[in-house]
Amino acid sequence: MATDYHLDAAEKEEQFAQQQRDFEHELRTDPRYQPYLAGYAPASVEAFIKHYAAHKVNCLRNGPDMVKFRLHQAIEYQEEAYERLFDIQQKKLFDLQVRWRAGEISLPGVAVCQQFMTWEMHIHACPWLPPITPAEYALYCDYLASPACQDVGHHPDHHRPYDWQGYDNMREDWRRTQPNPPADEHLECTPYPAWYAYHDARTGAPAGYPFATHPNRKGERQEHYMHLAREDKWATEGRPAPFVPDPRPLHYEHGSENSFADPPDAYLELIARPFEAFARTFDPDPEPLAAYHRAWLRQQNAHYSHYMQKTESSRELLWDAKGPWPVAAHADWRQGIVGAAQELHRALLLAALPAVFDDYEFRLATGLAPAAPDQYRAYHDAAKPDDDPAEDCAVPEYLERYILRGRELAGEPRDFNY
Amino acid sequence: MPDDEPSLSHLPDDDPRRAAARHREMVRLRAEVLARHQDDPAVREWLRRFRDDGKGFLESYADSRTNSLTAGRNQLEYEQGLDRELAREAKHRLREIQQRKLFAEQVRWRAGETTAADAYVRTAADFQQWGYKIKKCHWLPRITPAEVADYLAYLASPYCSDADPEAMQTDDFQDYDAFRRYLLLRGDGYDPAGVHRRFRPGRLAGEALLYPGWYAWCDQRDGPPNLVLARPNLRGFANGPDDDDADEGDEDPAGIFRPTPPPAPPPAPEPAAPAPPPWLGYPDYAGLIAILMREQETSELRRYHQACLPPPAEPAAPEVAEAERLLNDAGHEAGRRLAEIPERLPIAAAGDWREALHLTWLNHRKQGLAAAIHTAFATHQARQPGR
Repeated sequence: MATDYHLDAAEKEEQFAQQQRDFEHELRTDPRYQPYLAGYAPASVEAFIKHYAAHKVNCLRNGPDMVKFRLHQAIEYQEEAYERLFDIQQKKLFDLQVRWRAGEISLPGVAVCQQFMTWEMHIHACPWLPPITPAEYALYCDYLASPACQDVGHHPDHHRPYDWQGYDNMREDWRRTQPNPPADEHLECTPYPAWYAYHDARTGAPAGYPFATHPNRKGERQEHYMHLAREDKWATEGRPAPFVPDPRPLHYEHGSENSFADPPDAYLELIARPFEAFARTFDPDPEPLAAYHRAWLRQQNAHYSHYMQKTESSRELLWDAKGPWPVAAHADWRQGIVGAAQELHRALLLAALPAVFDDYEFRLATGLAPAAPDQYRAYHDAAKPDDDPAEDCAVPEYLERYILRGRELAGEPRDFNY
Repeated sequence: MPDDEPSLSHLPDDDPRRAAARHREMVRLRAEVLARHQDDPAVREWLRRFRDDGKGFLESYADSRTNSLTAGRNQLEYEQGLDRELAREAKHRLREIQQRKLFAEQVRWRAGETTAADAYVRTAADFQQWGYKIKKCHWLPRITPAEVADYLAYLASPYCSDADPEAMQTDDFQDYDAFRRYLLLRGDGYDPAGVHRRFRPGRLAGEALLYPGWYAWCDQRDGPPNLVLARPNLRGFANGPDDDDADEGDEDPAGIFRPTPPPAPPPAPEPAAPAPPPWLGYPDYAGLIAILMREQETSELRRYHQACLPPPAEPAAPEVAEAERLLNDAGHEAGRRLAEIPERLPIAAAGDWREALHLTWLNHRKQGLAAAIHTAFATHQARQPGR
């Protein structure tokens, strides 16, 4: 709650104020400080004491976070490059998933599609995924250096894929581009990652790979058994009541912009409207308030506008150039800045990749397990217990129950060999 | 409604006592809203128009209202301040048109031509006085719409390099000697188009403007011969501070015409006053803090102190470091200002994004200035007597 936050913050500030007074007193009276201050004009010493006490409080206030930040800052791009190294593995895992779903191969311990999503989280520890080869690494570097790779920097329309193994959602997205696309507008879709498409093109994958070339046999069968089990459950327990949405509007609006072409202050009107309606009806003093509110929204635009937020983080990133960095002409300065930051980020990642791949290869050569991307970060919670990939990636209990029940209902053996 | 205790206004902005007072004020404002509306049946009825009967609306309203009354009010006052600043600058820029006319009068007067100035000026220094009071210089022709249009063309051109409020701006537009010297230094290959010294804006140039950009624009508009260089300074020499004749009369380096001064009395021995104790100034702070941290503080605080210092950078030559500092400031400031402007503004290709961003902002400011100049001219015309 905002009140609790401000109360806590006020208390913390009062503690800092007390500390500052204590430090000042100490500097004036503690004999160990006096030799350093002796001999100077007293008025100048008093000014220094105030400055130094404020500095000590500032160190206590920001120091702990700044220590972490400096550690992170030193290897910021190695951290990111290391995480991206595993994009290579994600593609290999996805290709295996495609073949597994088509029934071409079996994989140790893999019985249901959802396990690929959990292996996605533990990609560095997947024992049956062959390690990254120098050729694969070189291909990834080519991709990162090419304009096909747009998920660098902070482009508002190109984020890093977070659903590397989301076969079903990617398939839905592909089906939309096919003749007779599905009518359901609420289907969840994920675009096929640009890295996957680049990899397919460079390695000579057949046209239409993967969705047109490989059937989703396992996936469809699994869905079929799940459906049987669900119907059976509903037949005994009754169907859950269908969700009826409340027709009234939400009191807050978001998602006002869909592209850079929208007016940069599109959010302002949307957010100001309910506020002003309430203020005009109930606030004793609505007039300056509405103007103050709009001024506040203007000041907070990076908070409300996704596009401005990404522009601001791009501008933040550009400081890492630590000197001149070129920008291309653009009719919208925000896009110019976003583009410049993308190129800088690309260059910094490409510069950081060789060292992290060296590190990866060294670990392999010496028989060490590759570090998880989280552990590779300069500041990570070392006290956090390691999770056990084998346990996390096992068949989830509810799926096992449902699928085996479905098999039973279909008059088939209670196993996963379908 | 203040976001701060007035009794704390003598403290620095980031003093924890001020910060604490700000947080307490936020709590008070928020509680005020909730207490006023929470149990009001009319409010509850009004909220029924929203999904879930507007659950959470009052809290979010209280937060927005609190922020509006504190940060929002500050922001609005800041924006209004910028507008006032723009209007003031527009008024002064309009007067540059008159300054140029006065300067042309001065040049003609110095060359011995008959001008309107004859009735109002007795020495060349009078032009400077008229220049400082250009608003009252009634004997100059009035500003015409065509002149304003020309000034706006100048404003939009790279000749106008002082649109950045941080740029050095001339206050003396009648400094004939300085301007003549400047123009002469351009040499024989005098190129009117090259008179403006900088394409880069003031903040990034780091050098005072020696010749008003507006004059440079007028020179290139009128073409050769140059107003100043084409005319002799006949009447000026007898008057100006650099008057050669006057200097000659004073010069007596050998001291031939000077009476021998009586020998100075031997200095009386002064009582030895104790030297004042040295001043511990701001430049000494960093060094003394480093020593204190090393010798007197805990290792934990020392670690925090080091993390809070800017990371060590490779030492650059002072002028390189200064140029970088100016560019960084310009990039920061332009980015911050642009983020608050809800318009799509173009950015030009550049070798450095900080400079490009600065130019985007500067061009936007020039557009604002042009609008303000239009307004100022309309006011100016309305106030002219006899209309």
